[in-house]
Amino acid sequence: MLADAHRQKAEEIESDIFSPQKNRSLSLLIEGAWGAAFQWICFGCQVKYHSHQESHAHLVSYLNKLGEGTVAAWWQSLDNLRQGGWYGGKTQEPAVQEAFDFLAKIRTWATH
Amino acid sequence: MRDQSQRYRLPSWLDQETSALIGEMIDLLASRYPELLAVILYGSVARHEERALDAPDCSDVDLLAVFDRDELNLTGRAREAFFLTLSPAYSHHLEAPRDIQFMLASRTLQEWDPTFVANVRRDGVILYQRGVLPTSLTA
Repeated sequence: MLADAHRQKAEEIESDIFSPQKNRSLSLLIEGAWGAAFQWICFGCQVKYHSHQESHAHLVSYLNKLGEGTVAAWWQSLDNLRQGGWYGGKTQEPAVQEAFDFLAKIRTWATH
Repeated sequence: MRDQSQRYRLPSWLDQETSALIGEMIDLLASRYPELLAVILYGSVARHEERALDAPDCSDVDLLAVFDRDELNLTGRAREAFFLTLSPAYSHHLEAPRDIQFMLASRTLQEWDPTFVANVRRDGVILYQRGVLPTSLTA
C-alpha cells in the first residue's frame, strides 16, 4: 500500500473508534487503536524513510533499525495493552485512554 | 561475551541471537528495576512447540516480567519507560529472528486471568529470579 492509503485507513479506523457510540467493547476500542497506530507507523515510515513494513511482525526491530526506538516503545506499550485485554481481567476505561494516548503520540510522530 | 543461555537458563533450542537479545534485556531490566522479581519464559517456546525460524510466521518469545508489588497499576509513562529500557538491547541485536512479547505482572498476578496464570505456572521457565516467587507461580 502507498503512504496515503495507510493514512486513509488510519483515519477511517480513528473515525470509528472515536465516534460517540454507547455500549462498545473496551477491548475493541484498544484493538482499533492498535490497528490505527500500525497504519500511522506505515505512513510515517514511508514518508520519513521511503519504506515500511506491511506486517506488524518484526516491527520493533525494524523501527529500531531506523533509529526510532521511542516509536518502537510506544508501539510495544500499545501492543502490551492489547494483549492485556486478551489475557487479563476486565478491560478498564483508563486502559482505553492510555491506548488512545499512545495512538496520539504515534500519529503526531507520523504526521510531523 | 558470557553465554546467555547458561547465565539465564535460556532453552538450548532458542537461537543464539534471540538468546543474546533476551539476556541483554534481562540485564537492563534488573539494573533499572530493583523490584523486578522474576522474568519467566512461557508459551510455545517454553514448551518447545515453537514454529520454526523459517516458517512464515515464526513464533514469538513470550516473557512475563514479575514485579515485587501488590498491584501493578502502571501509568502510560511507566509502561513507556519499561519498553524504552529495552531499546538498547534491540539496537545491539537487530538481527534477532524472533519477536519478543513482554507482559508485566505484580507479585499477586491479580491483574491476569487465572487460566493465563495457570498456563504460566505449568509451562513457565524461570529465566531470572531475585527473591522468593509468589505462591501463585510455584504452587
